[in-house]
Amino acid sequence: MEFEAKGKRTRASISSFTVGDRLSSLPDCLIHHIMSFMKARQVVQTCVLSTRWKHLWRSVPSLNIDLEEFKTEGAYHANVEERKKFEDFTDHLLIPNNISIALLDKFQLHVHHYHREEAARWIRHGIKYSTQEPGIRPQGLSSTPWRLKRLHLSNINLDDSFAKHISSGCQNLEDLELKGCPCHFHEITSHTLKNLILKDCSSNVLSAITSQTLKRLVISGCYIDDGPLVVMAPVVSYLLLSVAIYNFKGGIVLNEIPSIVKVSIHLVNNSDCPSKLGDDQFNLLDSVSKVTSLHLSAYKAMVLTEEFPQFENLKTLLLEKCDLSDNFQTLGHFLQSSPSLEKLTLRNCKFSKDPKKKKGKVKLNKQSLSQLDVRCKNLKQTEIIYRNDDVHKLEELLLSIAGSLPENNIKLTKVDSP
Amino acid sequence: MEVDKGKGEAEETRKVAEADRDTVTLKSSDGKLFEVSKEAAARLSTVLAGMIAGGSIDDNGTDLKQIGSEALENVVDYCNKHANSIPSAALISSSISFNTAPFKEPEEWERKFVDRLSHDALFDLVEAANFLGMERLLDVTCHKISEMMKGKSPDQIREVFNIKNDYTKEELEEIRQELAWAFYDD
Repeated sequence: MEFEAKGKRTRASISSFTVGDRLSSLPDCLIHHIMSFMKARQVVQTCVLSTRWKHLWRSVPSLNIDLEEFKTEGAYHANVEERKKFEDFTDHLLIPNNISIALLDKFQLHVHHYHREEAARWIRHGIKYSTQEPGIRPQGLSSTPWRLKRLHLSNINLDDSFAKHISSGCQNLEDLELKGCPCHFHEITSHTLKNLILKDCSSNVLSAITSQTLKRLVISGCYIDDGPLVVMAPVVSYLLLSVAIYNFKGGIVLNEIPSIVKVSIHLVNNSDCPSKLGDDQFNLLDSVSKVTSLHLSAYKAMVLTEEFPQFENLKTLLLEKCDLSDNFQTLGHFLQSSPSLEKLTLRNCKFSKDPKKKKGKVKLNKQSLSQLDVRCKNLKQTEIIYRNDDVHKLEELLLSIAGSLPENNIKLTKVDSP
Repeated sequence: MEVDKGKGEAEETRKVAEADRDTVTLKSSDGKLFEVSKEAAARLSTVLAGMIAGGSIDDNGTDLKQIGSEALENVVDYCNKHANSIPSAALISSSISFNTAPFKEPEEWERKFVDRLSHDALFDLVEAANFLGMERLLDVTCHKISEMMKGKSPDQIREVFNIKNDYTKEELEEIRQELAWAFYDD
């Protein structure tokens, strides 16, 4: 075995004296760090390794309870027996005598939808009964503060008491990730959050995300029935919004984000069902106009109802699968309003109207790109990746304004249609 | 930057380093000298960053008495590889990623880096990373150890890590009964 061979070498390092059990010789904090990469059941099971390990699991600062750990490898779902073991395990693990959520730095609970209710109970229980001092229980409805920095939950029913606890009972929480959770709460408010991820969550009532500290916001694949969802997060620097328009019928209202650096907005828009979010496209851009790097995907041609925002800091613009068949008006607006632009990429955009849908709603303005006052003096690189579309018109337009883009290099790449 | 194993070579490099001051010289417990980019050292190690900022870096080799030459060589190697991998890292972060969790899975080169280490060298590196406050390196090495434990029975783990079972049969039985909810499969 490897370690036997190495043991014979003379080494003048930290633990040159150790022959053999390097793992158990590590200080508790490093063993806990190793445990933080393991799932909960295996962490508990280390208690039988030797007396050194007997109680180490009880003081882990990071806990990851995951139904996947109980599932037969390769199986798609956990079977009934495995689910029962999982429930029993978690029921026992989360009693305050064993592990109290309130004392953890990081907690992850990943269940499947059939455990939504049990998991909701584990969370409620953790809010209500976790006590730092065994034997002392908070009175009535009062909750126990959690010292958590990071909380990741999957497929758990969450209600207003949870949201309230996030807002007032988690004074250290920086990182909150909710995946596939039915959110029955009305708002997320936090004075400490830095990173918020809502992925595939659904809600009929969520109407506000408010945080003065939030730096990163990811909303992906969610369904918010009511709305609008109002986001008040003035210091966000990274925003990813990847949603289907028809899942946000009430739209999204972003209050202005002066500190924004990087934005990706991906809209899925394959139905004609009316949605407020479809109309919000323009306003979303307005709120993030201080952005440096902007990636828009599947944007429709925009009908301007008010002045196009000035993107004074915008250096990198990527338009992907966007509809530019409005005689390049939208593109023209960007070029006209982005004096700092250095790199422009158009990937698989739509340049000309689909002959099958000739009834374009966008009125063609006589003004063409060449007549626009393009001021991208710093534009160095324009990359156009296109499929079977008429790219000549765009080429012509770019050439016609070449005088305003002294340093621009244009690269055309044709890719095959799928 | 090349990692110098021989002392003579290291000293030559050091002279160059002193001239442009882009590097710092680190001295292992057994007196070997290693060069590392000042920028990478400051970025990857909170302890070295503090020493650089506080001016306590010795041009003749900053003494790291806790760290043997083999571990220090790996630390320096990691720093250099990390510095070289920045373009690819920037590329990855610019693409859409939902992996915003604090711990990002080891990259391919990081995996290879820890996979080639011997058992002892891996643990030496864990301790060195801990001593130098190198968060990412500590994550990558501890993650590797967790993977060595993953999916293994207690007996298998004891074998891999040479852990001596000092429980009596009765004690073990008692634990398994008390924590039966965690030991269904056995």
